[in-house]
Amino acid sequence: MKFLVFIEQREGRIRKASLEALSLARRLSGGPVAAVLPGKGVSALASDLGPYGAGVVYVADRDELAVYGNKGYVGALDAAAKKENPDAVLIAATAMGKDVAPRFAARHDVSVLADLMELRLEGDRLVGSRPVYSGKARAEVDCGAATLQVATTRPNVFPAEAQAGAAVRIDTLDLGEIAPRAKVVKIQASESKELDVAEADTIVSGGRGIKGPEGWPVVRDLQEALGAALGASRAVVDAGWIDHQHQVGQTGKVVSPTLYVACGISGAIQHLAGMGTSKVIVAINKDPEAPIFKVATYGIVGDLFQIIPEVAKAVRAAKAE
Amino acid sequence: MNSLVAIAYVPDTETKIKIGADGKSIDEADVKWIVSPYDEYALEEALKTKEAKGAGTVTVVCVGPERAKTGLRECLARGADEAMWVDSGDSRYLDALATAKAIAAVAKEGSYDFLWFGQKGVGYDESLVGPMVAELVGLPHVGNVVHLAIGDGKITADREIEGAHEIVESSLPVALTAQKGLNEPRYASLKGIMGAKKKPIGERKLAAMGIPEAEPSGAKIRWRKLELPPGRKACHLIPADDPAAAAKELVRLLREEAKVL
Amino acid sequence: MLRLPTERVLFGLPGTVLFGLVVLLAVVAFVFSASRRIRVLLAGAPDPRFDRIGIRVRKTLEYAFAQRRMFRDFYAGVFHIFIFSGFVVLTVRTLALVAEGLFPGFTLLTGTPGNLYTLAKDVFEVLVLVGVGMAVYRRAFARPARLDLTVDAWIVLFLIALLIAADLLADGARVAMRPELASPWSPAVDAIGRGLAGLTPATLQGIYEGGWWIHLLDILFFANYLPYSKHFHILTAVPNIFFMKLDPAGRLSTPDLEKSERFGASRVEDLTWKSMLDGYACTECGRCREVCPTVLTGKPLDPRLFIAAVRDAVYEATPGILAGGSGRGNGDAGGGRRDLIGGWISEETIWACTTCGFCTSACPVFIVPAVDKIVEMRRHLVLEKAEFPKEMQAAFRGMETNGNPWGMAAASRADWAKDLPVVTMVEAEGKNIEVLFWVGCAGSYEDRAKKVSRALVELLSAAGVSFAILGTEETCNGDSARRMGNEYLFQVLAQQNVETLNGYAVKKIVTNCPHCFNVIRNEYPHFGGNYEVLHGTELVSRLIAEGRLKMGNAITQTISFHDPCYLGRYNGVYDAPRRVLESIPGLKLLELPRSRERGLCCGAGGGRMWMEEKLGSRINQARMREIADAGTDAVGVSCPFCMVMIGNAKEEIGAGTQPFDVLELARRAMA
Repeated sequence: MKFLVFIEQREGRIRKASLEALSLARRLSGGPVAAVLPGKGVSALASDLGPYGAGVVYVADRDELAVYGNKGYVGALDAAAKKENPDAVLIAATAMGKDVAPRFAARHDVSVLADLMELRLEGDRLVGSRPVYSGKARAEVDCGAATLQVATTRPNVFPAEAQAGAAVRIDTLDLGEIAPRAKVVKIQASESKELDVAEADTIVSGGRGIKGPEGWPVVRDLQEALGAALGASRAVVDAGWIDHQHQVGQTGKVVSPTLYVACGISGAIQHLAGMGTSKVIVAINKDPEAPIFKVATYGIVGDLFQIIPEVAKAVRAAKAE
Repeated sequence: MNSLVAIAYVPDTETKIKIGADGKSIDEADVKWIVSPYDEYALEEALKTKEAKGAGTVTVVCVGPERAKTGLRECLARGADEAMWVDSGDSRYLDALATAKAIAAVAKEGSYDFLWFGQKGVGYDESLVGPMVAELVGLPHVGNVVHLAIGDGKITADREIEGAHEIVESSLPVALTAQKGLNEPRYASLKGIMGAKKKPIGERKLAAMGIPEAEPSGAKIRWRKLELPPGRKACHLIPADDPAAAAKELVRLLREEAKVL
Repeated sequence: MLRLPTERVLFGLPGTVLFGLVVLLAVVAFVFSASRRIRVLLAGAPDPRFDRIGIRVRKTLEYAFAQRRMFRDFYAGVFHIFIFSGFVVLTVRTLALVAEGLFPGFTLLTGTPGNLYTLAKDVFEVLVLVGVGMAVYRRAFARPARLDLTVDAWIVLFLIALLIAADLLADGARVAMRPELASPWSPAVDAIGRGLAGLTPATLQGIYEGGWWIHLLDILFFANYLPYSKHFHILTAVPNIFFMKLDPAGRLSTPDLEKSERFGASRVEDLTWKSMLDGYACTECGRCREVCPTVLTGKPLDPRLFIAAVRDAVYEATPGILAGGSGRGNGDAGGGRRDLIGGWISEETIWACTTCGFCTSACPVFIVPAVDKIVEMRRHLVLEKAEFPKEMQAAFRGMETNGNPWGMAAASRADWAKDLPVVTMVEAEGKNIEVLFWVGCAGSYEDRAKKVSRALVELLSAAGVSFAILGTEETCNGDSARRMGNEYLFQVLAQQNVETLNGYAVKKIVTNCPHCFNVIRNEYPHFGGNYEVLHGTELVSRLIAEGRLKMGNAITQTISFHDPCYLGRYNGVYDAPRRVLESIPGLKLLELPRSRERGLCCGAGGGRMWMEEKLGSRINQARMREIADAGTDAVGVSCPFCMVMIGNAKEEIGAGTQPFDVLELARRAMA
């Protein structure tokens, strides 16, 4: 069964999520698979894909592809697919991947198994498992009547495995003229302003348990380690320890991040109303009776001033691997 | 400037999900239905565009069973001018491509400057329909929009990606998917609610639109089984006598069990 | 020879004719002013107040003539009744003098009635002066915080003093000229006469005529000044009391939304005629602001200023309304008028009200300074404009989608009772249920309130009361929606609940939440729901009295009680929670300085529980400070909102007094 894997790169760095998809494709197919790598100045990166499972890499190295553009990148995937004629196409479900996959699929009159957390083969059919209803259920899915099977994989779920690899064959794609109607004119990094609680995927929040504004550095340390946004309970906002824009709760912002770490927050109903649908909730509080533990996935009963610095350390260590 | 806004009518996020008797869909008893929150941002932006320009119409379309009409009425109450219901007949999972083809057909019948979608529907959580419709209708699209500025015959959109924002310029017409932070959806005034009761909702049957993916035999995504995830168990308490060890264990669980790190 | 004041030629005209013209002019002017005021009332929105005439007459006698509410401030009650009764008695004299002025020689009363009246006149004229003196002292020296020291007030006190003094001097001069007219029935006049005795007849005649004219001109001027002064209350207080709201305070109006073209009040014409009359009747005494939580914490809402703004808005709109012809809803009311909402009354003011009802209960002339008008304005903002503090939308959506303002899953409403011996009405089908326990949103979802629900269950079970809950069939009673102005949402919820309750033929309901209590008891009847509704403390105190519950365990503490506004002021239930506390051995009850009718609100009512408090200082903290200052170990509460607010305040200011729900204590004390 032939796989084609879309490889995402930004500014010359290949996304780890794409390597995860590539490794997965190799595992499923039992041997090296094809990959497509659009961008500018990316030819040099093609050989890096070998250890992760690429046998042939279709490279589209053009000035017009320096920054992501849907028309150009989908065009590259399309061109590779014409040459490779795969049975299945895998794409990591990153922002770019979620932008590329549906247009490519619709162009080929097929659909997408989106954001899979599990994937296996039954004969030559992909069978995946994906979260639905805000993660409250899992659907086992396959591609039904589709001839071309397209799937996107959730980042950070499948392992990226590097093995001693054979050489990679590079196939240069000829894309012709690329004239998109939608063009990226600028990329603005989010470093400059504080990540908005309402939009963040990970939030670290501080409550009354931080004892005062002097407690923020401890919380912010973990926030930085996780690359998260900073949240706060109503109590600390009212007490003037932090600005209202960070308030999470009934009268603040309602959030639904993948990971919510509640530090020194008791979990009164007003707060829960604002974060109760978070996928994973971690609670750190010295009061074992605190209501937050009833909704938390993981909890640590203890002194947050001792525990949080350790967690930040452990997070940094894990990310460095 | 005319906008077409596609909405999904989905279970409220507070609803406890229970698996239905057929093992492939949810048990709909006790489910409260709402317009998917991301679609609300889309609708709000379309309404704001109409108000800013002082002209144009906002049409909402929903592919779904009978209850979809309630969702469409809510949108009319907020200020949408027209509504179209594509009757999918029953409640079972509908392939995103089928939904996209139905909406594309409706889009082709009108002349729209903007095709608006939520970045995902909080039912199936697929993030597919918007870009698919753009492809089927032959329009450029910008996904995950958190800010929109409309110029002369073009738009500048701020699109949210991991850790950054892409500023995208596009010609019109264009398809857009709305992300949280784009705007604050308005509350419907009672005048709006009363007025909406009188506005007509167009109707057509999905089965009559010649879309192969709308039939189970032609579907290109099939739900074989629906299960509850390994339960929202009681909170997993990590013993904290040794803070360093507790922290390492927490990170390990977040990585390997919850898979969020 | 004593010449009567109009028995001479003045300015070329016979005195009587001149006087007649003056009187005619004054009467015409007065009728003109008064009729304008009345015609504006007719342009207001309808409000049927001609029912229960017998009760209205009785209340008028009690509050307008006996002035019961005035005596809450005893000093003011005394001087006010002096002035008021003086005016009533002296009306006869005024009429007599006018008649005398037109027909010299005319006397109204003779013989014994005449003498008795002469005595009464003298006594009351002195009392009026005493009253004015007391009032001047208060304004000039004592200066209570609630009073605004305005020029208008001084003018009026001056006019009253002047007219009395002029009359006494005139009469005294008359007696001085004609000692034979002196009478033991008029001791005051007599005394003045003796004091003036040394003056020449010409001077005395001058004083007599001058005093006579000044007295009557003062009165004619005063009458015409009234419709433009805060003293309009002299004419409007009695009708305002007569037309008072006889419905329970906790019952707000229910507009027919299907038939209305406009929702709520955004212009003067949208206000009811009674609201306008409220404006006319305000004397600016400031009693309404004394325990107003927003005034105490520096918010823009001050009920005394609010009702003055309503009145001023009506006055400003008067020419336009009278020119524009009939009725409400006719075209644009603009024409250079200041907006009612946003102009006369800011939106911040409108959202600040907690609807605690203190201002309503304090007003001696039964004005409703704020609550009903504020809710009408909120209805406009929510239903017409959909413009309101952002955070309210979450509460609305929660009630709409999941039947509770927190938006917690409707399906888990009965989870709090999972491991308790509680049946739902569905499960109890067929069994004889004594009472339905209406749990409420807080009692179902909020941690502290769930404990109180549990306590009531255990108390009822121990007492052998058979009860049931609606479980997931119960939905929010809608109080917050209505008080925040979302009348549509309220009516939807109310209709749904009444249908459910009537479907089970419920007769008796007990609830722990005063807001549920108030709405179901007072507002659901409009939707066809008529039930006997008890608060949890009422039922429990009854059970204790009947011996079905024994409070055997002692709790040795000093405790105060914070009266919930919607239980106490709104519904008169002050004693039941206290009886429960007093029946617990070891518990010593101390009254807070501001309790019962004067209880200070916790700050959560009026939908404010769901809003941010950004202006001024915290109401809940202000109340907690009072509670803590009383020095008790504990404070009893009987409302889930109060529990949250007081509990939070305790943490916020680090106070020592711990809040407990009365029923939690009863449960602990239960043997």
